[in-house]
This record gives sequence, structure tokens and C-alpha cells, in this order.
Amino acid sequence: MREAVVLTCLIGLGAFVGTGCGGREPPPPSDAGPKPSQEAPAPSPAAADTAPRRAAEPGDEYPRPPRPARQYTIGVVLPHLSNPHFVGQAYGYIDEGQALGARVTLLEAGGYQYLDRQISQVEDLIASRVDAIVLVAVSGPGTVGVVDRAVAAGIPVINCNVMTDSETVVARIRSDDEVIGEMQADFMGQVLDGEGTVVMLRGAPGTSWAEIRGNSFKRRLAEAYPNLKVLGEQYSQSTPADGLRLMEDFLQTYPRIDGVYNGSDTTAIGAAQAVLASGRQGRTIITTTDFQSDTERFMREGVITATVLQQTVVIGRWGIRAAINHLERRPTPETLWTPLLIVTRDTMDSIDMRGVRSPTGWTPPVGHGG
Amino acid sequence: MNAMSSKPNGAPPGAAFIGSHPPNGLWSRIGMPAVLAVLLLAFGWANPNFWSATNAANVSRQISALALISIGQTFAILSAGIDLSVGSLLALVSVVCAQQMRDYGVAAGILAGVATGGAAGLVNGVLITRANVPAFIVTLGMLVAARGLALTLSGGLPVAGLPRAFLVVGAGSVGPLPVPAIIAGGAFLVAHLALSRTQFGRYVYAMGSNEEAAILSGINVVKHKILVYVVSGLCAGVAGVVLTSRVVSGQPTLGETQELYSIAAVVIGGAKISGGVGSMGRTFMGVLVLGILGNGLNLIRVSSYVQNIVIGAIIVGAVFVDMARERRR
Amino acid sequence: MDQERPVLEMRGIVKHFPGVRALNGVSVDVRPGEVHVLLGENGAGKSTLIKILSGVHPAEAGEIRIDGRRVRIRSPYHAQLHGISTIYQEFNLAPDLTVAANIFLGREPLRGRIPGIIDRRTLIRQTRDLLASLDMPLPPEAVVKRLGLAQQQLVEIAKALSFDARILVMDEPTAALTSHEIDRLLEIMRELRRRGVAIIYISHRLDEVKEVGDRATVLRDGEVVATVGVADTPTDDLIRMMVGRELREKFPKVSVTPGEEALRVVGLTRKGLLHDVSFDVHRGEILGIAGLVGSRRTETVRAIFGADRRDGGRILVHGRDAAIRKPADAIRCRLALVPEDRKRHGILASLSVTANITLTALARFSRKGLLDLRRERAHAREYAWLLRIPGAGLEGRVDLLSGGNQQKVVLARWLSCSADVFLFDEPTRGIDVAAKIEVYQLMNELVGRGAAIVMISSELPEILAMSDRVIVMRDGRISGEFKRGEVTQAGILTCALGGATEQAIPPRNGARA
Repeated sequence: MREAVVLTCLIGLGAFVGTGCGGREPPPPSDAGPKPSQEAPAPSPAAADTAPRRAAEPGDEYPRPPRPARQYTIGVVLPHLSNPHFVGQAYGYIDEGQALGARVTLLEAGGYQYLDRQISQVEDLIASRVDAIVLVAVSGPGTVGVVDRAVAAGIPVINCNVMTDSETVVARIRSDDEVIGEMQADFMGQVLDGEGTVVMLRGAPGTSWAEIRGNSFKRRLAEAYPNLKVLGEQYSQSTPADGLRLMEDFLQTYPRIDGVYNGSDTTAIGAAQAVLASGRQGRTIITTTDFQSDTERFMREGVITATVLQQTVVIGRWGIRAAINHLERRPTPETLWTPLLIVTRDTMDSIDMRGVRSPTGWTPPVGHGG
Repeated sequence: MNAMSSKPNGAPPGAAFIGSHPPNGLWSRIGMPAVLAVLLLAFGWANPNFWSATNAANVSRQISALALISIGQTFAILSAGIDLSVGSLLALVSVVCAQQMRDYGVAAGILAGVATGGAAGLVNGVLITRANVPAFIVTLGMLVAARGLALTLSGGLPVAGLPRAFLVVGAGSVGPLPVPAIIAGGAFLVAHLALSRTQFGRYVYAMGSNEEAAILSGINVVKHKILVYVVSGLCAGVAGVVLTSRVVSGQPTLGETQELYSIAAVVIGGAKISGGVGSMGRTFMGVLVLGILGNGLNLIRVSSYVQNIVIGAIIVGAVFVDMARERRR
Repeated sequence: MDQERPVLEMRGIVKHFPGVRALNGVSVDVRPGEVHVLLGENGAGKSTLIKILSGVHPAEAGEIRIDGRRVRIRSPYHAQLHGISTIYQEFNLAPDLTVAANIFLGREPLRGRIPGIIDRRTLIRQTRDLLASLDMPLPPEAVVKRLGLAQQQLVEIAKALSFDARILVMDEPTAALTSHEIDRLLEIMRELRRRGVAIIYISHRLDEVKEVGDRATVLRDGEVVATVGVADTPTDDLIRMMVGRELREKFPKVSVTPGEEALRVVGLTRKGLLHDVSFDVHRGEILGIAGLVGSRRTETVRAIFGADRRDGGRILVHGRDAAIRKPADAIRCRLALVPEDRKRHGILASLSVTANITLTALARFSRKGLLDLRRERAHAREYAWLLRIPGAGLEGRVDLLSGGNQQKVVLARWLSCSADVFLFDEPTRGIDVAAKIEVYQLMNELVGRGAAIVMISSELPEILAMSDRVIVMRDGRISGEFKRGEVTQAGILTCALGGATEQAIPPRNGARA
């Protein structure tokens, strides 16, 4: 029987160590206080605007509602936290939750390949009876069942960033992936004078963002820059290592590549390393979206040429705001497009980063997830 | 002249036990259930939601795939082999099942999926017995190849467009019991019967305990080993179909690292990696421990990273406890 | 030699194994320059004693003193540090390494000051020198697993001798050697004696014992019977001390009139191993197969049973040609093989006694695919009672039983499937005396009921007493055949060794050689 005690203690110890890691308070909010409420209609997708917005706070187009009387619990489910893009979102969710007095639980699935884990996480949230769920779906069709079940259990589901293919979702908040693709196409078309060869690093297979952005890129090329040829396209996980590997293979296969499209900037970083190693910087332009610190560095060095800035923190904030609005029975728009902006080395320093990135040194509450 | 009599082992004669492996001592009989009970109580106290019917249904759904492949893994490990390919087979089965279902309907999809698992198991078994390559190596190769095949067949993309009727398998319930739990539970019962009450089951134990002695006793080891891996493949087939229904699509990325968890479940349950010792009931306990641990830790918001550390410690701890008992005997 | 103080004293050594008391307060002392022989049957405790001395097992009680100082030997390495070097009966060689690598394993000469890098050239040179000094013609760079059994034994001996030990332990070192090599070894031992090395020598070959032994300690059932001077004690007395009673009682042979032919082997051949082996056995008959280690007797019966392949020859069972290609075929012809290595080839250790007994006959308990566990248990209980296997532990693990009972379980397994031609390979190896008698009685019952038995044995008394006929094998060939009454030890040995053995002292009846 001694062994039974030892084993149980081991498990108990592990469990309590784990509990110690959970439930840590997020850092205090950065802004002064709640803004006056405004009933604003959903803004239209930002056009290819090169002048930076001068809003008082990033995300004010969909303003913060008044702080609710009761404390709501909101579960936020992300594909993973290894991409600064999601860290930016995380800051948005948590900071906004703080400002609105909501208790935000952050979960991540460990990668786009762990669909079953994400489903389990949503199920666990349903069992925990949260008030609302904000979901960045790992797979559009794959999450339909569990989302429908959440809604049937009375828990509204808001999609951010990557959508679930279900009509029961209350609100969808994202950057317009079509515009992201088009912006990259237009930029390349202009810089390359409408002529040349292009390869595509599309990103995670089966996700709506990879599909829509890539397809709209190709469509825009086809309709406006017919002499820009797409030599090849590949999917991969969103890691620099994958981007590096694919770009190296492309460089081996094709003697001349004028432009590289990227669905997300993690692959762009890898592609930039490959281009540097082959000595082709300056001759091969790289476009992407998002703006993590390595992207910024490569842009300053001139290896990455342009990026479509997503307001990741704003995505996070609007997700919480939509959830609170819905729970407080205020009318909630079905679709919200977060603003987009294409920047180059010359324009990047005049941007208000507060909507784009989490503050330096902020980390999501350690390993919140599981 | 010394009278060398055999030492009585503590079990009353004619006592019922699971399989041919005799239980020795108190721990053997109530150790695992005791640990489970403690876990249930501890987690329930930490988060009352743990004890809800919804949560119980969730947990059973979440571990049904792992439970099914652990059944197959039990057969493999008992026979002194191992099946490292089951995780990748989940992906392959999922893709095949979804593709066939999309084009030919639910029944065709399910049949194709399960058959794919069985076929892969057959390949494993034949290579292990005829080509005499160790099971570890053969199933390792299948692990890599099957996932490659899944990615090739699907082009790396999920296979969508499955009929809504299929959702019943993964998401439906019969009364309070979720369908996947019924499938897994039924499979456990059948497997337990096969292992403890059929010739095949006895031969599995024999091969795992002493293959040479089994051969010398006239057992057709080749045939039975192949059967073991076919069974494991079929279990992966059923698990893959269930998972496909849960994620409503064919996913070539399913099941990564699941083979390791199935081995963990079997080992935590008390089977020996070297073969010949273990049973379905014990594997069932191992699966429950893993499932309850994962779910409970989720509910008290422990990160998945820490969970992995805990599970790693449990695996080593469980085997250590087992071996310590053995040494003292 | 010298009546000085003993270099080694073992006092009151006690050791248990599960269910068995292997050593019950054994005390032995050895003087420098003495060859001290340990005598006793299998299971008397000799191997256990020297394993304790060489650090393989810890003793539970008792003490060991070297040069009067008490020592605790915790591991084989420790034993080496104390100047004890051991030649084991089962070789401790690494089969894939070379002779040189094996001999200097753990003590390789290192190159210069670079840690861990082996100086190959010096290694080979040292090995060559060592082997030359021992007059052993072995190539230092040969891979051990490709050497013959005798040569492997020489490597084992060379390795032990290279330690320059003060206490040398030798457990049946001559089992696989030819007469010339044995002479050489005895020479080496004399040289070592002159140098003051204390030698503990275990052997069943009483002629060797007589030739080199100074004193002998006789063990029986884990206890010391007596310590005597070898020269002063007649062989018969030694045997009587080992066995404890008159030899005749040990072998309850019942002669049965042989019936029709049960098994006939014609021209059994396996390339490189077996050459044209032919013999026959009749119902009611026990055919003994004698020979030295390495004479390929085990390979013969395995080939007959289909466990190993054969390249030529016919096997007729009850007059009919049996196409035996695998054990299942042999079993169908009602053959049974009780293998030499019980642990590795016979017993399914992690299963219950019941499961072990019923393994070959499961079909009998199947109804509609499912096993009737109750009938199975009843069957096992019946056979356990028949063979006098203690019934209390039938559902317990089989490896908790003693060696003798385990052997009976294997037998029960074959009885369960109605075998009637039995191939026994060393049926009483590692079994205590009481159980041995039971096994012999069982054999009598079997042949009394019309079974035929082929019995391989390395214990000559056993062969002489139990066999109706004896064949002798050497190097995979049959080298002699005797009928009961004509057969003598000398006769068997001559055929087994392949020539007159110069040192053979004409043995008295029943003496071991």
C-alpha cells in the first residue's frame, strides 16, 4: 500500500504544482479607463491606405462598451502561442477583459495540427459553464460540431481571425483576408512593374486565412498583373524553419524569383534567411503580413520589402467587446473587419504600434493553456 | 532431504482474475482503482464542475480514441511486440474514411476507414513475422509512411464535405452515454473476452512470455502474431473513424504522438513492455488515469506543458512501483 | 602444500533463493598453493558458493576473510580487486568482440595520456604473449562467436589467468576440452600451485580431482558433509558423501519388454552440424544418448522435433514417414520435446501453472471459441496430482516453483496432449535428488504404458542406470552403441572422447567421470 501513497502523492504534487502555474493575474491595463459608449456601425474594410490612422486609440472604430455590472467569464481558445501574432491577440483579449471586469481564460492547442485538442478545450469550457467563448478555429469545418454544441448549451461563440463554418457563430472579427492578399498583389505588381516571377508560401493547410489570402492574391494577379507568373506555391506550418526550407527548395528549383508572397510572417522570416544566404536580397522582394520583431528587423535591413499590418491587439479587444455586448443584450454586428495597413521600411516608423503588438516584455500568463 | 514445496502466492485457489496473469497482493487488486478514486476526489474538490454529467460525457468522448488504440496496443505489447504506427494510422484512416464518405456515403466511408486500419496492420504483421524485422522497426517505418500516405492522399488539406448524419458517431449520445464511449466500452468488453477466454488470447500471452517455448509447444506463432497486428490496425481503424466524426473532416494531421500515449496507458496499467504480463482491465485503468488526469488538470487550468511533465512522471512512477514490488517478492 | 594460514576463509555462509535454501551455513577455507576441490551433485550449492565469493550474489549471513581480514565483496569488480579471479561454467564472453578484447575487457592498455583511447597494438601484443605463455594456440584477433566451444573455454581460462590473482576459482573448466587441452590445463594449475596461488576447483570428473586435488570439501543439499584429503580418501567414499546413500536406490529402473518400433531416425543430416545420424527406439524402451558438451545431441532431437531445420534424412513415427517441418507437425505425431534449458525454452514464466500445463491442449477446453476456465483448472489439478506438483499454487506464477516442479509442469504439458514418444534433453539437470527420483519414476510409468523415451544426459550414472540402450555421439555423429548390461563408463567415454584417455582411472561402479 505504500506504493499507492507514493503514486498518489506524485500525482497530487504534480497537480498542485500545476495549479500554482495557473490563474496568475494579468498585468494592469495600459489605458486610463473606460471610454464613453458609442453606437457605431461596422466600419467597411480599410482600403489600400498608406497614411497611418490618427484614431485616439487603436480599435476605437468599435468602441469599448461600459463596464458591465457583473463579472463575466470568457474562454478564449487559440491555435497556439508561438507566433507573436497570437501573442498580440492574447494581449488584446486579456487587457480588454481586465478593463471590462471580465475573467478571461486563455487556452491554446499547441499547433494547427491538434484539432482534436482544440475541440476538447472547447468541450471543457462548455463543462465549466463560461459565459462566452471566443474561438480562433484550427479548422473551419472541423470545429462546427463543437461550436454548435456550445451554442446549444447557451454559450455564444465569437470567431476571431480564423472562422468556423457554422451559422450559429454570433460574430466574426477578422482582418479581411481578401484584402491582405490583394494588397500584397498590388504592391508586387507596382514594384515589379507588372512583370516577373513569384512564389507563394501560403501557410497552414486547411485554415481559412491561408486559403482566402492566397486565393485572393492569385486572383488579383490574374486580373490586374497577368504578366506576373506564379511559379509555385506550398503550404506549411507557420514556422521560420518551414519557411526557410521551402524557400531554399524554391531557390534551387527556379533560377529566378522576383517576388515571394507569404501568408504569415513566420514563413517570411525563414524565406528572408534563405534569400540572404543565397545573396539575392534586393533582387527578390518579400511581402507578407504581420509585424513581429524579426520581421521588423528584416524590413530595416531591406530583405523583407513590405508587410500588411494586422491590428492583432485590436482583434483581441474587439473579440471581448463583441462578447460583452452580446451578453449585455446589445445589438452586435455579425462581421467586423479590423483595419489593415501596408507599410514599407520608409513608412513603418510612423505607425501606432499599440494596436499591432503587445507591449515589449509582456508575456501571456505563463503557459496558460492545455 | 529438503522438501521443496512451492510458496503459496496469496491468492485463494480458484480465485477469479483477469486473464492468465495472476494477481499478487493487495496493490495488484485495488491499487489502480484506489489511485483513480483519489484523483476523482481531488479534482472534484478543486473544481466542482468536474463532477458534472456534461464533463463526464466530455471526458469519455475525449478519451475514446485513445482507449480504442490502447486496446490494440495491449495485444501488441502482451505478445512482446509493440505498435508504434497507431498514431499515424489514425490520420490515414481519417483521410480515407472522409474521402470515401464524401463520394460514396457514410457506410462506405466507415468500412473503408476500418479496412484501411486492418490492412496496415496486416502489412505490419507480415513484415514482422516473415521478414523477421523487429516490431519496433516495422511499426516505426509504418508510422512515418502512413502519415506520408495520409498527406499525399489528402494533398495536405483537410477533407471536408462530410454528411451531417455522420456526426452522430462522434458527437451523438444514446441516452446519457456518448456514442464514442459506447463504442470504446464495447470494444473493451470484446477484447477482454478474447484475451482471457479464447485460444488466441492465451497464445498472445504465451508468445509474449516465452516465444521459443510457445513454438516448441506447437503454437503457430506466425499466424497469431499477424493476427495481433491486424487487431491493432483494426482498433486504429475504428478509432480513426470516431475521431473523424468528432472533427467532422478527414485530417491528415490527426493522432500525432497518440501512439506514445497508448503505450503509456498500457504501461501505467501494469503491463510489462517485455510481454506476457498485463490485461485489458489494467489497460482500461491506465486509459482512465490518463483521461481523468488530463481533464482534471484542464479544469483547474494547468497548462498542457505542465500536464506533460506530470504524465511523464506518472509513467516512470507507475513502472518503478511495479518493479519495486517485483524485487521485493 | 604449506600448512600456513589460509588465504581464504568462508564461514557460515547462508543464501536463500525464493523457495529454496541454497546454502545453509557453509564453511570452507583454502590455503595458499592448495588446490581445494568442491564436490557435490547439481544443486548441492557449489555454484552458489563461488558466485558469492566472486561477487555475483550477496550472502545473507556469514563472513569472508582474506588473509585473516574480513572483507565484503559487493560486486565482481570488487572481487577482482581482492585478488579473486573466476572461470565460470557458463562463459562470460562478449561474443561479438575479439579474443584480445575479451581477455582485457575493462583493463585495456590506453594510449598515452589521452583518456579512453585503446592502444590496439599493445593490446594484441599482450594477448599474444599471454596466450603463448599458456601454450594456447588462439588467434588474438579472432571474433569469439566464431570459435568452437573448446576454444571459447580456453579464452575464458586465459582471461581469468591474466589477472594474476591470488585466489583462482574454476567451475568445471574442462567440460568442453579435449584430453590434450585438459593436460595442458592441469600443467598450468601445477605451475600456479608452485607460485602459491590458491585454487578452488569444481569438477565432476573424479579422475581429474584425484590427480590435482589436495583437499576436497563435499557439499550436499547446501551443507558441508566433510572436508577431506584427496589422496587419503577412496573415490567410493567421496561418492557416498556426495550422494548420501547407496547409489542403487537412486535409480528406480523398471525394465519393460520393448514393443514395436515407435521412432526411427534414418540418415538425419544438417549441414555442418549433424552427419548421418540414425537410430531407433521401441515402445517401452528408454534410449540414452551420451556424449560430451558440443557433441550436438540437443541439435539432433531439435531437428527430429522440427524445431531446427534439417537438410536430409527421414523420420518414421510408428512406422510411418512423418513429414516434420515444424513443431506442430511433430506434436501431431504425438512427439514431445522436453528441452534442455527449462527457463528459456520450456516454462512460460509469467503465466500460471495451470496455463503452462494446458498450453498444448487448449482445444480440448474450447466450446464455441471460448475457453471453459473451470474445466481447464480441473484438468490442471488432475495432472498436478498425478505428477505430485503441489496444488496450492496452481493459479500462481509458475516461476515460483522449484526447478524440479517446473520440470514436472513441462512434463504435464506433454501428457496433456497424449504424447507417446518423448525426447528428454537433460531431464534432471538442476533438480534436487528427491525430485529426480520422481522424474525417473514418471519415466518408468510412461514406458510402462507403452511410451518410448529418448533421453539425452550428461550424467553418466543416470544414463547407465536408466537406459535400456545407449548411443554415444561425438561431433554430430553416432560414435558408439551399447546395450544395457554391456555398457560401461569407460566404454562411453572412449566413444565420446574419440580415443583412449590416458589419465582415465578405471572407475568403480557408479563413479562419475
